[in-house]
Amino acid sequence: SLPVAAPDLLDPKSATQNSKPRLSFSTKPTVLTSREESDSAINVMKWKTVSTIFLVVVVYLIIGATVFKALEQPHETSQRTTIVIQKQTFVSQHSCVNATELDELIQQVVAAINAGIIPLGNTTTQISHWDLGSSFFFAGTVITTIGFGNISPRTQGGKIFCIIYALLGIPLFGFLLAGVGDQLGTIFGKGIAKVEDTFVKWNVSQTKIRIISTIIFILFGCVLFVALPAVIFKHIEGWSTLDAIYFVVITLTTIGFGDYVAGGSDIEYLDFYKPVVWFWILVGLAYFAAVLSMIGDWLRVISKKTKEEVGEFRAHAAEWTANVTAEFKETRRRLSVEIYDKFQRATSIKRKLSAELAVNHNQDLTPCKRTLSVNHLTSEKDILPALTKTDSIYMNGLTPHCAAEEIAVIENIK
Amino acid sequence: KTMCSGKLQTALLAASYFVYLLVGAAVFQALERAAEKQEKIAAAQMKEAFLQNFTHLTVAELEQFMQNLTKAIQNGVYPVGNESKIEDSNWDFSNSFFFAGTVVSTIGYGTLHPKTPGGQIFCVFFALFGIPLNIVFLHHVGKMLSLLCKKLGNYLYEKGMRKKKIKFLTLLFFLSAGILVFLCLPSLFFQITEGWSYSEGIYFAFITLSTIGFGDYVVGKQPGRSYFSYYRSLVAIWILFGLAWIALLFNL
Repeated sequence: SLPVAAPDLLDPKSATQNSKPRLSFSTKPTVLTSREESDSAINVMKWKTVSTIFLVVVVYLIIGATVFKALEQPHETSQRTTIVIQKQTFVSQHSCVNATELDELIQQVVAAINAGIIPLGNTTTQISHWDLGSSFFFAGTVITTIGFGNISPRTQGGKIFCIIYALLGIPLFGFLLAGVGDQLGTIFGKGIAKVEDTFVKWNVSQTKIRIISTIIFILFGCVLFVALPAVIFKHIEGWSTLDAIYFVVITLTTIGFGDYVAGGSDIEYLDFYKPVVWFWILVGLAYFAAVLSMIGDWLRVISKKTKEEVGEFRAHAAEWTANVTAEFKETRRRLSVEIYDKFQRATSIKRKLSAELAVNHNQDLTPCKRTLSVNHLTSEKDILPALTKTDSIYMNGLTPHCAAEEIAVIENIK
Repeated sequence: KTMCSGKLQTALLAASYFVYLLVGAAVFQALERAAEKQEKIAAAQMKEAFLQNFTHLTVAELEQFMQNLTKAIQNGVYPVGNESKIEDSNWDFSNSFFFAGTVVSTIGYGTLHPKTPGGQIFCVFFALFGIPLNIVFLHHVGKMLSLLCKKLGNYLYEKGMRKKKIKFLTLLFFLSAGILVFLCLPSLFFQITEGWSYSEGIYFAFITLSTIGFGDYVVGKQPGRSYFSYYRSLVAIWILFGLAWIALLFNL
């Protein structure tokens, strides 16, 4: 907002006469400058918001890094020492094998595993990862951006096609996800409306109803899309409970590490298993999108509340500062008036004393000019000309030739 | 009426999604199956050759060794070379930071993943809160970048260009600039640091920035190469800005 000179509160005349704020610059603000100013204000605000959020993200990542390191590094170290020992044992047991050839073998094994082939047993009889069902699965991991990675294209042509396929498929899937999310929301909304009606009958407050419906949404969805599938995976894939839940979350958030993949092991799966898994992924993704957006809303509310509180605090602080400054100015003004009056009093008494001394020497009594000192708080205009006409150099209008009566006048005025 | 059309729309989308998957499956199968067969044969031959070279080695012993080796590799441990190389940890701070970033951005390469129960539980909660945070951040960055776009657009408008042309030009500019900076240049960079071919670099860049993140190509994991200390952090910064660029593209 444009700065405005504060009206002189102690001068009632200025309050009524000066309706226009006293500006030192042009009083005609152009539309362009105000928009530029508001634009730059918004830019500054956005930059501040973004850098704050960036800082929060970096801190969040640092916290995650520290915790992951603390949790995983010991396990990794033990793995390392184990394999080193095993390697050394192997070499020592079979002294004809030299280290370089073994390293070559190991590198080849690394390459094979990265290609998705486990070099155990008879590799040629292993189930193909590129039969129609698995390719379908793979195509799904591409356009949902889950990208497990247990299988990935190895040929040049496959990679190029993968890029084009993703460029078209990801937006397509995005639309589908929005549609499914809508339908889910409608179905859930119908169901929850009945529950909400009963709560309204029981005279429960709106916010409580909203909280209850959110909790029901979360619980219901967790059972349907997380707990139930986890149990099924545990049973069919042979994972532990934690591994199954971990797989569900990692998949439905589209992170998709690929350490666990439903339908990716060498097990005899039922025919309809993989399609059902795919349907679950589709609906589960919509559910997780809703959950993640809910968490995002909470974060935004928290950040907004923090911003509001900071804003309120700033406003309070500004108000307090303004009050203190105004009071300080007023006190200063009062003090200066008092000091001036006291000074006047002191000098007039001094003059009086010196005048008395002079009177004792000089019997001439000249009639003093009786003029009233003007109280600057009165608004009577007739006094003004009298003030201007007086010869007195003092504000109280008295001259040093006056006698004792003037002291009474001074006292009256006081 | 609208509800009916909504349901119809969703059904149509589901059908087209299904068809799209089928088409993709068929094409991938045609392209990849033969190569996979080749690699399986190569793996078998590798074992054969090794056994032939060292004749007193029994199949069972080799199999045992292979099992141990496979387990180690799937855990992200590549026991190549001598002991000093093996000292490099996958879970030192900068690698853990990179991992946390791949979780929060939902890329999820998978070459590195938590194996301990504690790590898995923490990963779940870390993701549930980190992903919305990341989305909010990218949303704001996208908005800010689109403000820059608008400024450019205003500047051109004042120069007297038509609005449609401006929109087209700004979109084109950001698209091509982004492709150059986030796809082409990094691929050149990866050619030097990772030894990949140029097309492999582009494939990796695309798979990363689309957050698919297969993990078949991962930075900093080539056995037998040394990387300078902040390599992965540099790559993380590239990923962050690349994702912001994609967020901007969605905003435009």
